[in-house]
Amino acid sequence: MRDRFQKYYPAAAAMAGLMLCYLTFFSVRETEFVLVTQFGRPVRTITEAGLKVKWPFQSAIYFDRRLRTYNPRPSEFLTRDKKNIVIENYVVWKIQDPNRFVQAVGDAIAAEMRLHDIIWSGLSAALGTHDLDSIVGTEREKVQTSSLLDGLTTAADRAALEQYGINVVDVRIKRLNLPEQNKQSVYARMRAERERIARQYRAEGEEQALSIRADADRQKEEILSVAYKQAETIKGQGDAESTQIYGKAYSKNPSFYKLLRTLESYKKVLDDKTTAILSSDSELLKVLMKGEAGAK
Amino acid sequence: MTTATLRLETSYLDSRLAPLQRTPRITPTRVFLAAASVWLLSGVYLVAPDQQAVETLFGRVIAPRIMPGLHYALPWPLESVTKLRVRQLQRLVVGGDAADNILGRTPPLRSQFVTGDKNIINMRVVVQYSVGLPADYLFQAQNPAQLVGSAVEAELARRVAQRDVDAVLTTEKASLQDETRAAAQRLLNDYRAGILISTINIESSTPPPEAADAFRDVASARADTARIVNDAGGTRMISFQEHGARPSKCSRRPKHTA
Repeated sequence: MRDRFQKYYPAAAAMAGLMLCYLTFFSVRETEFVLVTQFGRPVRTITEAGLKVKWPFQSAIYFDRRLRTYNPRPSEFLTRDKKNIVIENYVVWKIQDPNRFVQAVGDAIAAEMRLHDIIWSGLSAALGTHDLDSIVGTEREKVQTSSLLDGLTTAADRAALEQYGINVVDVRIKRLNLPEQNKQSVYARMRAERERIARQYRAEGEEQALSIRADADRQKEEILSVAYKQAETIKGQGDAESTQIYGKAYSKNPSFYKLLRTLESYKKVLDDKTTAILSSDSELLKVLMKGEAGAK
Repeated sequence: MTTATLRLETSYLDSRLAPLQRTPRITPTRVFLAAASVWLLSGVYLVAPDQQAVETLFGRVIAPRIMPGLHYALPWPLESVTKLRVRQLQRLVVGGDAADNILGRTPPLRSQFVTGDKNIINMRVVVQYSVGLPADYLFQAQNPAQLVGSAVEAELARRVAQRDVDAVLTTEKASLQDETRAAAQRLLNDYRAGILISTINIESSTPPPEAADAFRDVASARADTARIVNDAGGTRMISFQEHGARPSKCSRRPKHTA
């Protein structure tokens, strides 16, 4: 009877050994924390990855230690200057103390509910001491969003770690918006602003165009007056020159000059229809009446 | 085919198979050795050119970044290897209605951002990122993509809230992109997310439909201004040409030419 089972002893021993190994050794991944419990009572926490040992009668509870992102629903807050603003934030958190976490919270969903409470109250308190301009505003030195959030993160982290074993890594405002019921008036204001800017552009354009036209007119007047002056000067010069030429011609041969002048004046005065009645001793007739002697 | 040839072929097959049938006897030691060598050989693995790998021993990281090539790790259950496509760019949309629908966000916020001068604008931003440090990417965050989206959105919202609407829509778009990228990267480094943001691209930034026509009117007013000024310049030239003169010096040139 005994002999019949004896050959199974080594196999049984090996099985038992494997079982013992399985119960004693366990590996902890980088993404995990392990809480070793003895009959339900937490004994120690393992925060380091690798191969670990426990008594076979102890059991291991695994916790995900990775960063988690929690997005609370967007909610409306009131600033110090009594303005409403809708804020959607996100919270980056992780389990820091598995022992406290398992006792005070239990699971991630419960943790998020508690985080929501901590952060909501923290944020509404923080916003209550800030004006809207220090969160949304174009004056950079006035905007204090980062310091507000840093303070909130620190406070939330302290509270969450103490009460729930949670490490709040970061609280950030993901989206800012104005409450739905204010939006229509915001749109109206935006339109009014744009209309004003458009008007301003057009007015500026008109003004510029006007000044360009005025400038052109002024330049035109200037140029014309200069041109007129130049023309007058040139005319005067021309006259002077012609007088001089006439003078020269006269001094060369006065009688021929006189004849030429008289002929020229005939050409001017007489055509085929002219009937001239002149006194006989008129200068004009002298050449006609007396011939060459008349020119002298 | 006759039966004779068939018989011939079977006998031929028998003669060929004979040496194989004379294989060594199967003993437990030999089985064990064969199994052990197969087990040991199963630790050989290949990292493709576009991949990097992380090696863990009993869950503990012993090699945070293994480059492409042929490698060896102790087989299961001692070591395990996780391969990641590090070069591959992953795409993420922040803002924009489609992404919001997928995330199941309630309509009111949609893609709206508030600018510093309390205007509302709609934005849609595309983020491209890749794995920076494989070990961090794998083990630090539960959902790295969500972390990237949140970080980018937060930094974008903060920066939009400090600029006026004209800057966001036009002049400072590029600097907004750059600053957001740098700040979001800093944030992700603080989280040790092992992520590298390669680009942030503001795909669209538009005024809300409720006020869009007013914005368009400003643009056309700007065009009108340019037109009016150009007209005036043209009239000026013509009036000079009529008088056969050339404008000597223009004391006032059109300011707006855009």
